[in-house]
Amino acid sequence: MKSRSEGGYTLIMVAASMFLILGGAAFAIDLSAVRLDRASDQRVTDTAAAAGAMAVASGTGIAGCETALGYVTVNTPAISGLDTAGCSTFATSCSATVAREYTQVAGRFTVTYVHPVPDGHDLMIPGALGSTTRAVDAQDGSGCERVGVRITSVADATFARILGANDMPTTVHTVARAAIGGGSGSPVNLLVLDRFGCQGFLVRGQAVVIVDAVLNPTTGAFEAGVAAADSIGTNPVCNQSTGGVVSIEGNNAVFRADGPAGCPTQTGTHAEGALSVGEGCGFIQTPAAGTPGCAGGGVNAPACTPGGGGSNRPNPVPNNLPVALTRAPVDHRYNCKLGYTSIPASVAWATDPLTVANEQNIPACSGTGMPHIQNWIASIGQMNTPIGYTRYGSPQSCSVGSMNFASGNWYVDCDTFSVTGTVTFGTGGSTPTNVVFKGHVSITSNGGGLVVNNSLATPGTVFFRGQGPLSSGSKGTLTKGGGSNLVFNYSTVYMAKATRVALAGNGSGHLRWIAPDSGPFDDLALWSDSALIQDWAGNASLTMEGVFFTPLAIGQYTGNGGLAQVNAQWIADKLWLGGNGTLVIRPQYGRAVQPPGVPGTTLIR
Amino acid sequence: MRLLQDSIDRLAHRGHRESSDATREAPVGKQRRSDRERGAALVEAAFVTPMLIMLLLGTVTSALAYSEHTSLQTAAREASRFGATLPVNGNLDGWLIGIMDVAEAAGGIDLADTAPGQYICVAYVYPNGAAANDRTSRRVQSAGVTGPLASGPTATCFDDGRPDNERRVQVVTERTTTIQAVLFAVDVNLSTPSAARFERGNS
Repeated sequence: MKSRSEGGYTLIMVAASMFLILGGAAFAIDLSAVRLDRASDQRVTDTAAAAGAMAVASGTGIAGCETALGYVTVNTPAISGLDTAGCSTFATSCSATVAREYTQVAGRFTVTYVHPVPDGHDLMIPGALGSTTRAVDAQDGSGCERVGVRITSVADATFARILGANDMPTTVHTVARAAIGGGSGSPVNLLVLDRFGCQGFLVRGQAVVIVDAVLNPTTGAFEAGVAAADSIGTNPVCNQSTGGVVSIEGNNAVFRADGPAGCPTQTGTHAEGALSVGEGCGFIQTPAAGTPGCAGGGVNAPACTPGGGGSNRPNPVPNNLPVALTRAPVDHRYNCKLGYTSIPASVAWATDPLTVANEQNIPACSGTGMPHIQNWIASIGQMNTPIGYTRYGSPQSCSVGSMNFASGNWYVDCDTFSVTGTVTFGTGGSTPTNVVFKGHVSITSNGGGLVVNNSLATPGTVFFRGQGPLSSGSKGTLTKGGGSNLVFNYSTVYMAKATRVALAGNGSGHLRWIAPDSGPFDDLALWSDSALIQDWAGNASLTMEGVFFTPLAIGQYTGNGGLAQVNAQWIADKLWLGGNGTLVIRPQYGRAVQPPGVPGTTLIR
Repeated sequence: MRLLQDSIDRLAHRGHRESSDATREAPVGKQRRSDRERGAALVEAAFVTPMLIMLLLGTVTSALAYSEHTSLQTAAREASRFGATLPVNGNLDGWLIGIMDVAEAAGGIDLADTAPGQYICVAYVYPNGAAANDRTSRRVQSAGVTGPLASGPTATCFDDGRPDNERRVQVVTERTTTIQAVLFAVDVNLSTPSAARFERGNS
């Protein structure tokens, strides 16, 4: 039996319990509201960061800021607008290690745009509840490729005030990476850049051109070989008479792309090592109307026109390339400049790669010492002897039999440098050899030739100046007779505006052209600013490794009846392949520029 | 409040009263309230109880409306971002239908065909696009019935103020909901627009 005084306890207990129960419920209700706010804000930051990164990938730093803030506004009804005047902060060049932030406050929201997002920035710490820190890795790109958006929203507590919590802030963020390459990772074996013309790929005679499958050393599996033409075939309108963007003219010519065996378009298989390759399992691509085309030998212009024979149609038939792939990744890797301007697809393609306005837009540069090509040209392209180089020329003879030049820097001051024996520059030792040729180089010796020796550990360069950067016509032709040899070991070759290569292959001579495997020109075998046709030929022995980049010139290869396999990636204005031999193009996976083209974004934090 | 206090008092004294009643007669006016007081409490309860129920019902239906709004917002944003990553691949109409299906699925029961005022709009917005599969186009679903494909500069779901050269996805999800308060009810139109820029492509 309870005493009368115990009645007060019950009252106190009920009151205390009610306080705790109602307080807990109040806190739970407000916490739920905050969690909903957080989830909502997270979707907004995802969308905004992705949009901002797209703008950075295909526009400018200012556009990235304006776009990201624009999408925050569109997707947040409580925000009527954000002032983007301060986005001018992002007009200057991007430094991957120095974060730039722009913050705007609108009502209960504080929105911050960040670009670049350096490795150590707090936005690189994952913001999702329960997530753990992830170290920055290659998938995250450089700081300048990253765009971050952070939203802090402060909600007025409705019920939790009884527990003393008046404001309930929550902060979320997203970091997106702008990727200009589209991210497929596989190299493109052949890429032609002409945007409107016909005969981007032209296969004549009895040439057999195999765009081979590429072995991915990481997975140990083959990836599809790719031949891509950027042309839409409208200027002139490509037809059977002019030839399609992919034009097979020889009755017995073959143009085939291979890939992993087992694809639906497979026409046969063969073994390469322990793996099986599917013939016709690669890709031949163009954005021109009429793809897929040439099925069964039929015409489907402007994309494709076949020759007369049964096996000469492209195999597989060309499929659609959604957008032009462009030269942008090559520029980005070797010659990244500030102030690139955007080129819509409707604008005529570049005519002079040294003119900034004609170059493809790419994200802000982050590489050390960029732009490499421009800097190189600036240091070499003068008319007198480049600084740090030893001059060779008159009164010394410009017609040389056999001669060895020591390792180092050489300037060959000859209108025509004739090689009638064997001329060797450098020993391939620890001192790099860099050679500048003023004018023509003619190699006529049978069994002899020109050798520029550099080593894997110490790469070098060869610069064909064509009499100077403003020369016109052909003033710097590199000519090689069929019985002569030409060797560029671990050397990057630059060819100026008035230069061309004319390499005959109808003899016993050999061609060995290997790109550096380190340094600023890693994997770059040739960069040519010339618009003159570049003639290559199937030599008795052919070794080519690296990226051969002639964006303004037609690359012409003539086989000589044998089988030639090159580990090269060819990127040219057009590629014309003929003769009667078999050419297998198989770039090494790690020695090619990644597939270019489609800007895209990936959310990384 | 008095009603509440009375209830607490009754709870606090019930056991004591029952045991006391069994042993002795309680003095009138001390252990039991007067009939007049009990009547007053009853009258007060008659006034306060409907108001409490209205408040409770209003709170519950408002919370449900908030939940539905959240579902609609989630559906619109999920669908727009899905669309931003999905290639059109030459089939724009199929693409629009696909995005609509995603919105409907993400909205769940709150955006079902039978939901009052159900409305979904999906637009591919690219004013600069010229080709048939690359120009501003829209599909609308209302009360579970999907309308025809519309194309042209005005075939958007809403004005998002973005530039013409920006390829993007718009999704709007709508429904009506009713906030009940016994004596009256208010119909509220819930509308959640969302836009996302394409995450692949040159524009």
